[in-house]
Amino acid sequence: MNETYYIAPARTRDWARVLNGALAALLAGVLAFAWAQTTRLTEANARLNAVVQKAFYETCELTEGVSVNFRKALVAGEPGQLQTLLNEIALQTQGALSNLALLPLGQETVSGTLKFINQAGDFATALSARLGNGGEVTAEDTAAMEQLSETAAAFSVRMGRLLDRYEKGEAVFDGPDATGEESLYPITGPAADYPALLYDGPFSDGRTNGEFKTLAGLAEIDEARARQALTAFVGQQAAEVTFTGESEIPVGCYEYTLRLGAYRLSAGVTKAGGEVLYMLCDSAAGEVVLSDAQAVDAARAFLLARGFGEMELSYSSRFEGILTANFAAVQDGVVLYPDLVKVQVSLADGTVVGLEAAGYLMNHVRREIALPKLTEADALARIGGALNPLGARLCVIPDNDAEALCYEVHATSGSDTFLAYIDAMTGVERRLMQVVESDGGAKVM
Amino acid sequence: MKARRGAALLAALALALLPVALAAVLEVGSRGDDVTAVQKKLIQWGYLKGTADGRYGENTRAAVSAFQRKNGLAADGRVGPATAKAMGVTLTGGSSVAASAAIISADHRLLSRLVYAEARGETYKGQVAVAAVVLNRVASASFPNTISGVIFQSGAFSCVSNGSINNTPDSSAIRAALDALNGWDPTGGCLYYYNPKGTDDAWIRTRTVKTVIGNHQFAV
Repeated sequence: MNETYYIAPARTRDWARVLNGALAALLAGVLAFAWAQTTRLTEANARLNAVVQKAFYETCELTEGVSVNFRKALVAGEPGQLQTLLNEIALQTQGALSNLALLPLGQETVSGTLKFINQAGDFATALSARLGNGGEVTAEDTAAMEQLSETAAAFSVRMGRLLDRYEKGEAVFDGPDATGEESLYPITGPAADYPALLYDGPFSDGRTNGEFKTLAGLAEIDEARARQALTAFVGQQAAEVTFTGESEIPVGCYEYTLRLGAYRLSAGVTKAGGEVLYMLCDSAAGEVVLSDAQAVDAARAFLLARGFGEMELSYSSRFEGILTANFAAVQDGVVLYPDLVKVQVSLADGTVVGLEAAGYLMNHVRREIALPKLTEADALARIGGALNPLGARLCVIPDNDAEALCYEVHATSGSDTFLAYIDAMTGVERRLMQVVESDGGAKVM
Repeated sequence: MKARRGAALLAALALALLPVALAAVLEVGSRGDDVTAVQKKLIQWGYLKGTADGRYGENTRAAVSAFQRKNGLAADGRVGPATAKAMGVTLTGGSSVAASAAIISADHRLLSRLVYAEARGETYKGQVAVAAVVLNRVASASFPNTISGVIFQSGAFSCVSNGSINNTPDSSAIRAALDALNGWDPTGGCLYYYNPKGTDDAWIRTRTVKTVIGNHQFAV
């Protein structure tokens, strides 16, 4: 009797056999799949590993090259040779930056090194440009190059050691983020004692940022006054003006949201002086009715009514029913390019829905504009031989932290249009821009 | 069977919708053969000067408006079915507009994708702010010097590690990226942002917060 419990009937045994077969096939399939996946994962890992290794090697080689080139630059006999070396350094630092950013190191771990490499390249570019304009190498330049060379060499050696450990299979990037990064920082960070670099490039330590010259000395207002200022600025239609908080962007501001007809805006008003720093429009505008010229006129009238005075349209572009017009302040006929206000106008109904006034509020003070040493004819004669000048006017352009009085020369070459900026004091060509016309408007690149 | 019928139904539906999707109205920003055809007619009849370049710009718009006024059509400067018929042009749909035309450069595209992945649920201002942080990093010495360098910096953005950066951005993200490229920065130069509820990174909390926009704290 008991046996009936142990020996299954024939039909059940058949089922069991089928089931066993199916399970075996499934297992084989799963194993094959797992094998294929493992192979693919191994291959992907190997590819990634190769990318990391390549980035490692290139970081080491390029920073070593930066160090060597700075040492050569210190003893270079003639300015042409020195400039060649400096330009090579600028290229090497760009390569080192790209590679360093690919290594699986956290942003905090590499930020000090990125800054050092950026500054080394920036310094080389600035010095090369200065030499190109007839400048000379100063004692400070020599000291900086010695320092940069030493720091780059030390960094390259430490990266080399890290690479060695990585290649021996040590999991240098693994472990909990905090400990991993702390242990790697001394290796990847630049020497702790490398001094502040003061030169005239955009990454110089001496560069001060975020000063709002126009607001200096203005009394601080409270939130209720700021709200009034915003309402007066936006116009009668402003509704649902809601205070959303305070900010330091980087000047102290009160933040708002509001409704303006069909548009929802957000805006920031400075505590000092109650100036509108920015307005942003939440939604795209409706159907395009106005022409670009009509929208620019609306923007100009808006600025005039709000006391911005005479402003020069720099360029405009159109996107999704909104026109963005870029205006620069004008003083005694000289265009002040640092003092920019960008205005956005809805092409559906001419409403001003956006504003960006940081450039204006940072820079717009009355300038002491010196008499140019060059005449307009001098400036026209200084532009490249391939350019055909159409005219020139005086302007002030930003020059890192300082400003430069220039002739803006409007010129063409074939069907291309260019703007060349010739220093009105020294005759140096400070900048060359191409004007690119597109469906969205004109752009300078 | 059922599934196959469903698929067939879907295919039929897609085919039925296709002509509607393609019969786009031509307007400023449109490009392609239909625009060229319209321009040729306008040049032939003296409404437009120059050559038919297939790019619907301000001049084409003005010419279309003039044509519409002369022919008793609503002068909206756009070529819809009525205007096309009056011109004797058949719109084939061989033109592109809107989303594809809206993105103005590779950098703009990448920045839009980042904004969409990182700040989709945020207000418009919060989206511009995220794009501005990327651009502030490009301008900072402590970060790579290109938009792609900053976005793909190892460990910088979670949307790169989890792949959500590859999603297609919506028009709000595209516009927010462009406003940031045009100089709008509601963070005033911030280099970091984080969601205080969503991070246990102690380091990021040591940074000075300058403004709070939606769920994000923006810091330097």
